[in-house]
Amino acid sequence: MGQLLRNVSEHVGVAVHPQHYVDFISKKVQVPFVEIHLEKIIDIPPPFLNVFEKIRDFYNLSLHSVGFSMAGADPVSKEQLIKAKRILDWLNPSFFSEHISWSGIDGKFYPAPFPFPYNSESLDIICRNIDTVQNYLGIPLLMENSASTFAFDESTYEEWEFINKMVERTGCKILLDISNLLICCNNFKKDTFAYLKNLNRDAVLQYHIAGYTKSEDNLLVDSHDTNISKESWELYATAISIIGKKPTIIEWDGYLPSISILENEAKKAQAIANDYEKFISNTE
Amino acid sequence: MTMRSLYQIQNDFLERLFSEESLQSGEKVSLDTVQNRIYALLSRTYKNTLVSIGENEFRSLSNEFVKIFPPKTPSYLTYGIEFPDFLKPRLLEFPDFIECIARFDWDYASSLREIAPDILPLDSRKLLSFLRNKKQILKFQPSVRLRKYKCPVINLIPDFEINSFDDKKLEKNVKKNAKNNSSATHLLFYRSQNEVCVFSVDQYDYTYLMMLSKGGTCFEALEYTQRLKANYCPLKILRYCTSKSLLCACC
Repeated sequence: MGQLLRNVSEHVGVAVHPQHYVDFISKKVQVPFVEIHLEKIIDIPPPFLNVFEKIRDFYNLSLHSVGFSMAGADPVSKEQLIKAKRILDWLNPSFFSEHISWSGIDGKFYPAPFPFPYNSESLDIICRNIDTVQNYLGIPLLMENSASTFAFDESTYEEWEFINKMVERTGCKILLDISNLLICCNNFKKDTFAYLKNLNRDAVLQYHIAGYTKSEDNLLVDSHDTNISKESWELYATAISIIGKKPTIIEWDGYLPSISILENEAKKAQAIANDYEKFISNTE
Repeated sequence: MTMRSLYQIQNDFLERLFSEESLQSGEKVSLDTVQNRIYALLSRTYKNTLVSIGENEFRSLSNEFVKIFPPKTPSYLTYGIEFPDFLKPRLLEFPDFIECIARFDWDYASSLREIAPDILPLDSRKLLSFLRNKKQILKFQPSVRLRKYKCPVINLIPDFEINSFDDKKLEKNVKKNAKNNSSATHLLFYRSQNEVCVFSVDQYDYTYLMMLSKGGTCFEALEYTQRLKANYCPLKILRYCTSKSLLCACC
């Protein structure tokens, strides 16, 4: 297994969206670390990736994907792997991450991360798919915890337990999405603190944090279209106290605000990371 | 309890999801996510179609479309090529040129992808700002490439001879329309069978279309001010669409 491609310290950054390309390529965005979504560029031949060439030169990168449908019953698409390798070789990101979810089977790919039951069969399948991706790309894959709104009778593992087994079997790493953790624990009446205590903390290499909304049935929904909640910030501080500081990406995909608002969210995350104990004590 | 395999679970889920029957509230969240993202993808490509038929109708059609035409690859950049054909039998209450506008939308988005794929899906105003900030992209779009490029739009709109129409009535109506549509700066003429659609485009679209039209007469896009000074373009206006950004005429 290869090493991560570049070193990144405990930086906080934001995800890149076309609405902010002008800001990024003119170096106006005051963050050291940015995330690019693989599916937005995977079908574009590198010679055309002018924007990302500049972004690559100015910022540390994390490449994030949802298209491999890692928990799908089907094997990973070879064509998708070849395209991803081409982009990875060209962008040279610090991290490459995917989701603990699936998005389609039988040649259909929906733009949403669907949940699945956590049991021995799904563990075998997701480990098979992680092995395929890691072996082909030659780098460790970071796997992001889910933001489920429903569960399955077929589940036999807690999510943290499933993730730990996945890490143990494949050597993959963890992208811990703080908001997803809060969403799942709220929707299924689980304890966030117990989750954090039980998760393999050594495997966590990166955090995500984002805004969420509440459905009519009081389910929390991972919408990525609003400010990060006070509860998420508190959980972020708690996670740092247990797991440690890690590079963090602020995710905001819908109703996108100006880049300055995203920068402010990144500054807030950095301030909390630098002084997490004070933040926890202040909120208790 | 009978244990289902992962494949069975996932297959059952997708079938139930799109039948929209007996969905739990949590599952409904997944359906909403898919529908919202498909709507966002299609509305980016089919901008003029969306304006022409309205957001509610477009959303309803988008929800139906994804059931029949699920994305076949995890890259959604080129999703929706079947949308114009899908629209045809479903828009009986709309003018028949909507399908043609949808085809134009697809061809336009495809052409743009050919030239500058990494700057999609910016809206036109931001795209123009982007291009100004990044002069090398403008240099990078070589005219040679454009001249060689076989734009499908050219096949769709053959030999549009704008000089053959009577201009006076159009001029009167354009002036009238301009009062209600001050943001419109250019007109795009588009013919389908015996109908001609005229709709406004902004500065970037105009520049782009003029680039495409070099070497051919299939497109004419003219600034309002230039048009109104010119003594040509006779068109007989038969009807307007309710949308301010679109007016239609028959020749």
